[in-house]
Amino acid sequence: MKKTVKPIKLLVLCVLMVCLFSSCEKAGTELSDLMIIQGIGIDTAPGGYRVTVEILNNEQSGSPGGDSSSDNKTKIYNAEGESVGAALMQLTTKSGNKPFYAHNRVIILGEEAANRDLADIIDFFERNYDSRASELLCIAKDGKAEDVIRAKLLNDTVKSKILEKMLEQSYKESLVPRMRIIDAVNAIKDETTYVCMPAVTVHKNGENENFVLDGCAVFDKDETFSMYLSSGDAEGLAFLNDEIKKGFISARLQNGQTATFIINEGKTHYKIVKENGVLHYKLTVDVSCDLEEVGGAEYFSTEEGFMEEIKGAAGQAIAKKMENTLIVLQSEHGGDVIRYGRRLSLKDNKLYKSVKDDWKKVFSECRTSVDINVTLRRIGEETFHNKK
Amino acid sequence: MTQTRVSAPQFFSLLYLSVLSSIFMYISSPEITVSETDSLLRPLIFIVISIIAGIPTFLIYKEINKSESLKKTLTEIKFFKVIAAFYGAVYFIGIIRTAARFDLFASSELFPGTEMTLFIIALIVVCALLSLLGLGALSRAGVIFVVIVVGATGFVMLSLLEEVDLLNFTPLFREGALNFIWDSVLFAVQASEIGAIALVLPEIKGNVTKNYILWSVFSGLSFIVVLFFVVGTLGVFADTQLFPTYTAVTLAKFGLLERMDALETAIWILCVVEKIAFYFLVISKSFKIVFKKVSKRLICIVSAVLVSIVLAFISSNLERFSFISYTPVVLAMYIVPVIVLPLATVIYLKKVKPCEKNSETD
Repeated sequence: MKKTVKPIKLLVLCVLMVCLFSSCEKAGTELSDLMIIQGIGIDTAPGGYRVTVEILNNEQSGSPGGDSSSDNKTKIYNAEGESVGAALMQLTTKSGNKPFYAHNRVIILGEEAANRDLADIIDFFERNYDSRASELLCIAKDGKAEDVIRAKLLNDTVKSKILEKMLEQSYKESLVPRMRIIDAVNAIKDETTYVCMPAVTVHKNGENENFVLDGCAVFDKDETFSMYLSSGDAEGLAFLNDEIKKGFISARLQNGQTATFIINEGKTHYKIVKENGVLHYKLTVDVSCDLEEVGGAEYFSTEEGFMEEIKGAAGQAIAKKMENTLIVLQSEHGGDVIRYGRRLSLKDNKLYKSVKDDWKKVFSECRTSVDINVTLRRIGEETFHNKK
Repeated sequence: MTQTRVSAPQFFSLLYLSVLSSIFMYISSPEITVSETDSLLRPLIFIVISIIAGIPTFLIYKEINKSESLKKTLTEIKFFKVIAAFYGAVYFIGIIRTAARFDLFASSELFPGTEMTLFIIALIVVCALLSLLGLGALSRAGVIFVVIVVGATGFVMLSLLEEVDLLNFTPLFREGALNFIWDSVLFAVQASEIGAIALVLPEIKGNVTKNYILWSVFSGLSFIVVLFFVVGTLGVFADTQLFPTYTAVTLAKFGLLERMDALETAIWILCVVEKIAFYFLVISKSFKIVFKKVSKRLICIVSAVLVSIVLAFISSNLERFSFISYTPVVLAMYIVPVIVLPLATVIYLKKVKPCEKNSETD
């Protein structure tokens, strides 16, 4: 008797599992009934917001034997509403499906929308159950988010996925900062940190278009757009903010030739002192890099001091980047996107408390000195003895 | 026949899972911010409070062990019947609190927007049935689950290491030392399961005191590790999230594995099941002392039905849920079973019982 009960129990459990654990999100919801959002563009509209979303064309990609060449991989919808959430809800009336945000990759803000309250815009994504805190934010430079979502890229592909990859890779290459929902909320809630997010533009490329990351946008403490940092200026952010991942540096040598280095790792150390009533940030940047290329054949020798020269050139190039970035950040429309205030609060909370209320002014007046230590890890496959 | 006697490490494995469920489903509240570095020190206070709070429970058994006749007649004494009834009532509310919190978690994070009442009732039924297997079965399962939970959580936490930003930490005692102490007390009182040890102590063999201290230390250290990753990865954002530990886990990635939250959620359910099943066991033991003729099975069934009814009432309304998470309720849920009931018992055994004995001999 017992021998037959066990298989029956197992059978019942298997049937229950098949019935209960075989659906997406809600029991009985087919994949094709979900509006799987990949990217969201947010622009302003009279009396509210206009959202443009790129969704997976899951009827095409999900159907057995679906022909991927006959249809586009994604579809684009837009809708308007009094708030971002209301506009997104309106999408249902256009597609017939319920928006599903769990797979959203990027949120693009149109420039006009960014000029409104940023905290107001991202509240929906902060609160929504499906929305992930790691979704990336960027701004459509000098344009609308809808133009970015609707860009005609060369390949039929998921545009938001390409943009997400660009944002992630550029962050890993220390070219632009990363701005996730978490980072934006933390910056907004912090008393001295300003929001800074990558800026994207759409460039015409013959018949087609492509995305270009074009520096980043700095927001004011009232969460409205303030200014753009150019691509060049944005490159110093990673060094100032201790966010050096990988990347490259091009340095000019004494003979006028250029050396290029690949950054392997880097770390910025901070010492903060108050000198004559002004905060002085003493930064030490340790960078380990590989020499990727060097011009000037006559330099390919065992000449003493050559190593020191190329290391010094790399250090100067980094220091220059940092200096350029700081000049812009400390200008009238700039702000503390490099979390100097936050660092001060951790090092000397008493001093921080005494200056935080006037931080914009204090930050614009603070001094920064930089000491760069470059370690050359590898020189590539070519030796220095190779006379060309 | 299921073996009922358990070793101390097995029992404290069960208790460890129970207390871990509190930190996994920790809810941010305006009273206690999660995002500050202070929250990493609160578990140290938890360790101290837990060790001190365990003293009355252990004193009970010191007193009982003095008299063999008392051991045999203990459950016949009216006073103990009242104490047992209180224990039962407290852990009945404990099940409601745990299940309601899990309901909120499941309907907010696992299946957003879905009515979870039936699922939670099914969970209650499963836990009630599991409790009938006895402390031995639950504790031995606890050992296996601890290995799974610690292994998987450790893996998830390590994969979060890259996301930790040291600037998310804050200066210590920013809100003052007094606030820190009060927050730490509120944090420590999550572990109301300590009180239940009094009811199951005779079934535990081995050095209970040593294992209890080890449990307190390991639980505290586990909290510190989890909170380090919560604060380090989320910063102030943690305070904006209903379940900050879950939000931190959603950031974990390891190679192609991007949805570690699914793995972690499955593990958390294990902890919740163990906790609720243990509480059912405590209820059945308590009410068995009060109603001697009623079987434990019937007590479990009645408790499960009552809990299900209350949960169905709470589930659809956040205000009702807020009531059982109200600070005085949380404090009472700790103070009554961990301090008041054991102390009352010890006083009774020390003062009243000898007097009764004396009067009997006179």
